[in-house]
Amino acid sequence: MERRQHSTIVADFFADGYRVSGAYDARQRSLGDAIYDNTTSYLAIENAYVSSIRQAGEITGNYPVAIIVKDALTFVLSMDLNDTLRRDQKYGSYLGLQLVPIFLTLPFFDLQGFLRLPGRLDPRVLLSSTTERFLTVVDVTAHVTFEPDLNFQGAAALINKSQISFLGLQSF
Amino acid sequence: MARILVIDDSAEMLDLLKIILQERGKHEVLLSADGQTGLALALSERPDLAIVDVMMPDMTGYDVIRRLRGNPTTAHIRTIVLTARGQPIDRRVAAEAGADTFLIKPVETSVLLEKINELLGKTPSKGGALIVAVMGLAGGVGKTTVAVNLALLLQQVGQTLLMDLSPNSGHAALFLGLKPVRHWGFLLENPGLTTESLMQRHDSGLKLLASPPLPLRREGLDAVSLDALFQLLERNSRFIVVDMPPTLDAAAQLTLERAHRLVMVSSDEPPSIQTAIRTLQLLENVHERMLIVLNTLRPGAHPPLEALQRALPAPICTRLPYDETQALVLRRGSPSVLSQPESPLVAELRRVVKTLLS
Repeated sequence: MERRQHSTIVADFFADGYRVSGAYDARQRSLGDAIYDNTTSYLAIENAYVSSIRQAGEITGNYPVAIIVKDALTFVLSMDLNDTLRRDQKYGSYLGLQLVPIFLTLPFFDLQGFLRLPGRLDPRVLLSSTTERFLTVVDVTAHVTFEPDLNFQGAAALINKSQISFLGLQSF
Repeated sequence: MARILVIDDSAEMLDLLKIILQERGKHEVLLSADGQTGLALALSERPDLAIVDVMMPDMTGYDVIRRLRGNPTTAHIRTIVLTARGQPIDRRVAAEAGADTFLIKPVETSVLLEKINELLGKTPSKGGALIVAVMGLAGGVGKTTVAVNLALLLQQVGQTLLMDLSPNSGHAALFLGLKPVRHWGFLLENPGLTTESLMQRHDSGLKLLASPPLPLRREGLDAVSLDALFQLLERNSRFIVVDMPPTLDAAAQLTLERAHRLVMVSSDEPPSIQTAIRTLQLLENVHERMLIVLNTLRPGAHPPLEALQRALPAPICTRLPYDETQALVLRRGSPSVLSQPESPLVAELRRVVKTLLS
């Protein structure tokens, strides 16, 4: 049984203490392609269901069409890794992919997971030297800072680099 | 076959679930694209189970389930939340709303059908025991004989527990040649006792939870205690055979709810058949899980099986042949399965076990 309807991808979008569950009409692309796309500042989603982080299970509103401002996003959480990978990330690397444990803090959240990197990681480059505005972290658990028992889990998260206040790496 | 209501605002999802539930599950399916219509269908059509999406525009799936639970007419309907919103907090909110099961889209067809069968009481939950309740409200039809022999046959397949729920000095221990030195009556005085300390083990490996040797002057096990007992016992047995009490008291009704298979024992004598018909009329919602075993208590001519089947609303699984040695082997504490394993009676009981396990 497929979750996708036509080519929509369902994900949770977190921003400013809100959780928005919605469907992105990906057509031939992935959610990663759309989020990493530097030529657009907005993301149009369908059937958006809004919850406050304080009552993250309860739906307070729903909208058939909605726009998300990418710069204001904290992170996007998906149950399917393939939905979050850009086309170029889906292929293997001659150097192999290594998983680097990562911990980072964001507004309302602290998040644990793994960076999926080809070759050796240079942490100085990670946040500063690329034009990419987002970072892909896999096997993610995001705890709500003010309520640590409340957490969100996913196969992958696309994290807005500009919202990261602390980034810790276990080893590299 | 069960009647299943699907409430989902996605037309594709409704189509897909309809095909799966009808073709693979052989269920009758009712469809609704929104919560309000779904609630109206639940009231008018009385489904056995509802599969409810969470993200729907007019009313969320949680609100639908809260309303189902809040209405006495629909409160009993089993519910599955099927959603793409699959975080731990969503699972918690669904459980608080009253959902029985929470599944995340996309779900494997086999997982969905398995959960449906679990909720409809057709299969035990993972790690749980198959519970078989043997009942017969007419006296002297051989209910305990059937229960004891079925338990011994199931013991040959896997660890089996025989529970004698009679509050009036049940006979299961006697038929197995055991003295009921331990029994569930101790629980009434001391609810903290471990289940192992209440049980006896037969040479065959069968475990027995006997009934108190003297008729009780007080109420037997209440539904809450029995439910807790089932939960403990299920962990250590593959099969639980319950020799039901001769009345529909609270313990019996809880067992009827929890049992995956029900075996009604009746003789083919008119009074016994009449009691079976009346009982089945009363227990309309258990026919799907019910098998009827006709026990032949006297030699000679008997009414044709076809005529009896027309009168009874549940399937007759078998007619046990007359066996004049029955009374003797029971008095000796050596049931037919052990003392006469090749007899026609045991051959028919094996057929019953095969049906129970199918």
